[in-house]
Amino acid sequence: MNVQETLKTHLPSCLYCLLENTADVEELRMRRGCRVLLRAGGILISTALLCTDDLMEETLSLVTDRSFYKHAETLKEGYISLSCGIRVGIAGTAITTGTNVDSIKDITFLSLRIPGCIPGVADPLIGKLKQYDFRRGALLYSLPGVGKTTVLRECARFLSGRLLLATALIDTRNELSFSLEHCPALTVYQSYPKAQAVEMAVRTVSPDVIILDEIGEKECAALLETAPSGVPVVASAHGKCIADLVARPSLKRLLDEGVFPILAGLNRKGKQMEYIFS
Amino acid sequence: MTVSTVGAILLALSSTGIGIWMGEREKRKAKDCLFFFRLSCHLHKEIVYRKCSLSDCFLSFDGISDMGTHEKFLIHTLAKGEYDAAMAEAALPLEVKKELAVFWKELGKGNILEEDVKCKAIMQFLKDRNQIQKEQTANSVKVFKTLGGCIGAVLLLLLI
Repeated sequence: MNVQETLKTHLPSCLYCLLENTADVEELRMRRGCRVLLRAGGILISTALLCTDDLMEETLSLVTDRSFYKHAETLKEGYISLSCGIRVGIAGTAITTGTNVDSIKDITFLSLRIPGCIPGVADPLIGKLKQYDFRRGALLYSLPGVGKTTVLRECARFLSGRLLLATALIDTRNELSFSLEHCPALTVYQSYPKAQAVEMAVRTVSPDVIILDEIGEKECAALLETAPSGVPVVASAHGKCIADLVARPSLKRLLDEGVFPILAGLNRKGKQMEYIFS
Repeated sequence: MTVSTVGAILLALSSTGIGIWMGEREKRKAKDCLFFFRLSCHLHKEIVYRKCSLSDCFLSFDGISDMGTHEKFLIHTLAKGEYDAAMAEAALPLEVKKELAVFWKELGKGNILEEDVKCKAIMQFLKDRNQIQKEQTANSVKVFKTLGGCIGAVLLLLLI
């Protein structure tokens, strides 16, 4: 099933028509009682379609395949993964026990992110990695929605498809490995907890490089643990500038230890991606 | 043979036919009751132990069970989420249809524990109803067939 077919199956016809009639849609945002918004070229556009209760219920029913129980674990983390790397962010009222989210009710917001494939978008990053003969890691940072995942995906495609470097791709949210079916040197850890998958990859599949998206505290600890193995890691993190990165103690420690000699900031102006290397 | 004799025979035959048809309809009720009971057991297993999506749960029942076109139609209609259409086609007592309508409405909207409870409740309901239906059907089929045959014979005697 390709992206279009997945969208057709998992969206009400009015929303699918909306996406079909708008070029380069990256995201669809719905809030109960408000107009449906689309993001294209990084800009939000308001549409004439109103997100009624019925439309929200129908959309939720379709994106969950009428099976909330199937997505219970990811719903706790605020998202649902569809096939083809499509991610649906969900917000509502949390049902909690202490600080743990048990479930979510009264869903009021839904954001559907459609993955993009931009050939060549990772070329500057690959060029930098090449300078180190692909033996050192890189950390990609930007604000959310700029295109870190797209860059990492293209990077994985090049490293494992063209260069045949044994690449371990940690894809917890089932969006990073989209369209990488024909990369022979790629090992995909799908839906694994990131920290666990990093350790598993180093121990079991002898990777030349590990790629993972959106590292947090647990992942930083795992990366620190596996750093002596010498396997370079290409990862991404949210942050506008380096100061944002070093403000997080776990990430700062990784940077201090030299796990990421290459730091690449991402900016986007329309469809153009800009890199800031440091 | 006069036309009235032919007419009388035809009337008698139709009366017997109606009796048989009503008996068969009762049998189908029992068959559909059993079908939905087996389906509920399958749904419970697939949801609780395999966390399959609802459409997959329904469609996988098609593969493991020997079914006729009527049952296949029900399965594929349910898999598409068209519960009302499936219930309209199913030959079930009204109270079973009502209970199933509530079940379909709520199915898939909770977590595994909630789905487990829902499935077990409907399984128990259908199990009990299936037993009742079985007994009712055994009696009704006999009654309808005998009544149809008797009415047919009486009509034949009276008219001839």
